[in-house]
Amino acid sequence: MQTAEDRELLQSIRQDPQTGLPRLLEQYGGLLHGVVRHILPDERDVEECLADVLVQCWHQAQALARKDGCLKAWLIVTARNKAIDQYRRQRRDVTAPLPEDFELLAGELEAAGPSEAEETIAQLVEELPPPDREIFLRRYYGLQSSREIARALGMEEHNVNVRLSRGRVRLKQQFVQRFGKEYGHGKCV
Amino acid sequence: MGNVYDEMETMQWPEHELTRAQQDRILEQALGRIREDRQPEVTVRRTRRPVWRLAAAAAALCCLCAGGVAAAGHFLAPTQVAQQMEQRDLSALFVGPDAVQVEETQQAGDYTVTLLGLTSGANVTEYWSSDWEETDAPRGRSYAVLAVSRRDGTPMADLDAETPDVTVSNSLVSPVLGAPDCPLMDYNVYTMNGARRDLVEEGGHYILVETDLLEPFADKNPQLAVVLNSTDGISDLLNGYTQDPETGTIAPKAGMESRCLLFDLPIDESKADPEQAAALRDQWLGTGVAAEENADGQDLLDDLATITPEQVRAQGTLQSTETVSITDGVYGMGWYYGDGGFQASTADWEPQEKDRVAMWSDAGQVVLMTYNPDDTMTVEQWLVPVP
Repeated sequence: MQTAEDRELLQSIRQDPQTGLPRLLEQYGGLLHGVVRHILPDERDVEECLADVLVQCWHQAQALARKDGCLKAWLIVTARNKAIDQYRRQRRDVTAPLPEDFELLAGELEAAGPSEAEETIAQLVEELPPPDREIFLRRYYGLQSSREIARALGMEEHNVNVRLSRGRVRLKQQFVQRFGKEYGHGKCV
Repeated sequence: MGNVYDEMETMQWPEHELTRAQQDRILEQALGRIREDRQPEVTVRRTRRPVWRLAAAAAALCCLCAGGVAAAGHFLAPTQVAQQMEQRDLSALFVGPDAVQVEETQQAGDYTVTLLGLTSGANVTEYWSSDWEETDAPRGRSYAVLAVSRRDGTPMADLDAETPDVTVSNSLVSPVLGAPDCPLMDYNVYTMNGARRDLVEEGGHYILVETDLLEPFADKNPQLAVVLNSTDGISDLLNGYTQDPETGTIAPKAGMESRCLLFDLPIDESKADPEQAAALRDQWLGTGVAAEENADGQDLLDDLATITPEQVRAQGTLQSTETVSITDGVYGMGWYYGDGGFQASTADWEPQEKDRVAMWSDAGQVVLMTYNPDDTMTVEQWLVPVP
């Protein structure tokens, strides 16, 4: 559900981005920075990526307000997707590769068209029991490392990895069922 | 998706503060781009008005001269569609030597679908697939543009409208191959590393679909399937069309003609390349020598994922044993460390289940857990042989 404050913020962004976007950045900038820096180590890339998120938010502000969706969650997902897109554009020049499950995540999002893949991942995550659901939310939406997740949830890092590995098996099965195709080969979390 | 979003809204996420200077630079970039976005809005409308005026004349001529062939002239050309999607290199491909203008129209219920054209060339949209991690990316991509309009002439709904006409979630556009050795299940937009972009401009809905190169399959009767009111992905393709196993001929199933369309893709048959087609097929279907080599690691994990406690005990070497207490914590009943760290849940154990393989790694380390009647759990570390 959208808060009245977020609705008003979206209206402000649509009507006057020069006023609305600084407020958005003030409120959510730290959160979005925290997400995209997992993939984009260079702060210049981070800034470009966050600018993309703001432009997208301006484009979508009216629809977001109308759909009554959660602004914070939309921003996290959009920031993640923009960061992966930007990484892809630069990947030829990047010497340090992404963690392999982020690479697979990028493949998942492309494999069947972003919205369909997104929906399938979300459905899978919804069905996971605790604490796996939060582990997946943190990994796939917040792009947090296993170590960070383990720290946040008071778990062992190995345990987080195992749960991610199991979840990925389920994810793969859902993809095969729905799309008739696996999204990656020979890799695991 | 609502529940996931709601949950994300309430979670505590780590933040990394932006400096004031960073905020200023980000805002400057964003507002600059918004100003640029607003600028072309005016320019584009000015330049496109003549297209609409021409369209009226073209439509009238077409109705008079061409019978059932619709007036594709009132749509944007594929090169303009690509331009509107900010794909400048692709826009150039649609006027390049490999571009084919089609303009074939078919009716689907309340809609008219027109295949405007196709082309092929480099991966100019920078599509990336995880399939390409271990192997070379294919040398090219194929692109096609469709237009969808309402038969009654009313404008198509915007993409973000509350009740959109056509979206990526309620329609399917997929190349298919009408050949006996190319079953629908194996050769479709999902296997071919397909991607799609939608655009609504001045009441017309445009779909750009791209896949790995189709030209090597030019001798396999390449076609484009379009399914409206499709929400089940590959299932709608398999359920909406029949394919003769002898001839490979694809056709909409009886009664499905109003939502399942099929366009011929006029790709020059001389461009067929069986060797390249075989390489693409191996990549799409995960077959061939490279796939077998790459699959080893995953196969091992997949095997371990199905190993039973009995098999672990029969094949493995016990490394350590520990008995732990089951207590109630923030994640329900389970094994918690003294500092509250959560290790394993017992909430999802079946009543008859005594033990289970809880964890495994590709080094052959397996953790077995046994749920004891006295509400304790025995945790055993095993090492099983791996190839």
